[in-house]
Amino acid sequence: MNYLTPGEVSDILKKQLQNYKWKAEYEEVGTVLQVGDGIARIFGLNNVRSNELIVFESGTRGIVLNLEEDNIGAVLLGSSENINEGDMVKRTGQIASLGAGEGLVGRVINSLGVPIDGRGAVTGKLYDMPFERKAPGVIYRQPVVEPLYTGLKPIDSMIPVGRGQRELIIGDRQTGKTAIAIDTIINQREFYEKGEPVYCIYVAIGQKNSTIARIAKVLEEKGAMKYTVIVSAPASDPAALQFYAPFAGTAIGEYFRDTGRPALIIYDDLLKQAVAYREVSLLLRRPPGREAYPGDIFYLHSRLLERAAKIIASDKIAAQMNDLPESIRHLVKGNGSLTALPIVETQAGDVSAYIPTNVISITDGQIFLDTDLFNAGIRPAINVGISVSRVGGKAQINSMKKVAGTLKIDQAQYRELEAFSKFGAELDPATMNVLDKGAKNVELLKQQQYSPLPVEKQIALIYCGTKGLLKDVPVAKVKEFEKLFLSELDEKHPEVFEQLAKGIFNEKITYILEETAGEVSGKYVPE
Amino acid sequence: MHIDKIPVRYAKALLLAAKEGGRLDIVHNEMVSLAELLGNNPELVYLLKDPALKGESKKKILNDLMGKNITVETDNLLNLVIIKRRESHLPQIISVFKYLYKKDKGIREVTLKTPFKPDKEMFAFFSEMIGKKLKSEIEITNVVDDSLIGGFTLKVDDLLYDASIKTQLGKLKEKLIQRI
Repeated sequence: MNYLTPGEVSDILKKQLQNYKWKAEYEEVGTVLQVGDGIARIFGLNNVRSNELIVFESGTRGIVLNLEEDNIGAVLLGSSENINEGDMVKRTGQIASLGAGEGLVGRVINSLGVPIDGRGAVTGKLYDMPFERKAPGVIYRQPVVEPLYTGLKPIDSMIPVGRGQRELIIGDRQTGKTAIAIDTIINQREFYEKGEPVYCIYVAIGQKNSTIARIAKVLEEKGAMKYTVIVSAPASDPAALQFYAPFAGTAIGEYFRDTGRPALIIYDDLLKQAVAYREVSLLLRRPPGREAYPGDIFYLHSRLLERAAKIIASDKIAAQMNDLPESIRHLVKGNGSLTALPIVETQAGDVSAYIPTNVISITDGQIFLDTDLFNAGIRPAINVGISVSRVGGKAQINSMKKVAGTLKIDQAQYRELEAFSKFGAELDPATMNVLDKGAKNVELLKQQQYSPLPVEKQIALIYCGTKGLLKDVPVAKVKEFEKLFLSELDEKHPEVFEQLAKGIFNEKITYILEETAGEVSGKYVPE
Repeated sequence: MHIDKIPVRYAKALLLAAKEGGRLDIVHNEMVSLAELLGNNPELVYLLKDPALKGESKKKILNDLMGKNITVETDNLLNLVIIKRRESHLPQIISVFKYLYKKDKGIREVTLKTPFKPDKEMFAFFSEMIGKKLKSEIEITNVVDDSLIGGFTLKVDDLLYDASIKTQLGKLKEKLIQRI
């Protein structure tokens, strides 16, 4: 780090003072009529625009949300302590936005883009990105074509996610929703090391400060902060900051998306954002609807998630994208993507509540996590039966598609028969076979937290599962088999992994896989 | 300056009635004196808000205070406000009326903030200069605020011209912090 001597500081200051010119200009002002509960009513500011930033005499900022006949309603982005009735409010002429740039990577910031990790100001050039922006139009998009690997076997095989997709993670509390999101971030390290980083943005809404600190620490330890930004709006922040946090995260994601790079954003969680928005709306006296949420709660989430997209490959067409902020117009490139993994917490598994149904209908599929599965030790506790990915299949690589094609049906069949087998009736060999394979697949799909697996290893393992190569391995030894099989393959046939990762899947590979699996499982055959 | 719709409705109605009757200026003067009366006597405002007191008594007190020679519009307003039990809104009705009156007459409200009280000459200079610039009748109020350090601020309706040392220093500080 370069240190400046006091003399140098004086020189810089002197230069700045010499160049300093100030001219008084007319500013538009209003008067505070009422303030409290994080909102203010203001008289005047006749030309103010919706979503414009305003500044109170105390320095606190606000965003204009309601434009009414004779007053305006604004949310405060800070404390209302030093704001009094009759105080002056100034327009800034600026629509609510934040500065996004490369300097944000590796930082923890609040909803306004201010770093809160105690490591000083954000360095590098920052580009002004508005919170609210129209989603790219149809012409500027292309269908999902590239996979976004989570590193989790059940997801990458049965509920694949593509770049530019919106996949909801839904489940009760303590079912591992955040764990899936964090694992996905950690899994992107592979691409960072290859020099093609998938920039990750983790938006924490209404969470405990300690939880956010823990997540930041885990990501740091796993080397994932090098390509990650954390937008933190903890429960102690005003409701306005909490409901703007996803928009701030999306603005950062759009910076990467529109400059031709892949980005991944996680909203943890949108239910808390909806609650914060409800609070602000009720205080602004907007009419309440179902569960007291305002009428535009669906639009709040749909316009947010619609901004996740896979941008068309052509730079020329992408440069004409609708609603581009002037600040990044010269940097726009095609082929970028923004993948969204929103998280919604349910109460006692009730997916038919208001917000869950809304978000389910907006997204391109959902990963449903089950408390019972979690408690039974099946982790990640994904309920494959009601989890779905509507577009991700197109992005799956060939080798995975071939291997995992029957896995979902196999597992569905297993669950159906499993219920019968509990009656203790004598079963025919075919049924026994399905049950045995199913139980071993369940075991195979289990995965430790913070240990995402590269896709080629997943394919090799799932091949063993779907082809029944674990027949001789006892259920309790499946994990051990997994370890041995992978290390054996890595040692003797490393080229298989390379080919599988490229999507190649031929007879030679199947032969090697079957042979290696046979060798390893041979150890478990009773003498 | 209002949040409620009620005072706006009454004030607008009073303005229209006074205009029709051709007594706008007289009604305005009456409203100004009523505002002074209420401003100087907070007990009177409490009294108007008192739900235990009957409307007739409130009316009688107001009549006694205002004298008998008030215009029919003002008299009607007071009657209506008391019958409709909106007497607690009276101070706001008056302030909205004053605002609407100025808007109607094209009088612009100007607030001049200075760090010290300007002498008569300076004040006259300001008034003349502002009047000429705005090309309209102005109503100028002077506020002394020594936190400005030097210079002045001028507020015309919604516009603020800030030429105070305090703001200049603030902006300079912001700039110095930003660059380093």
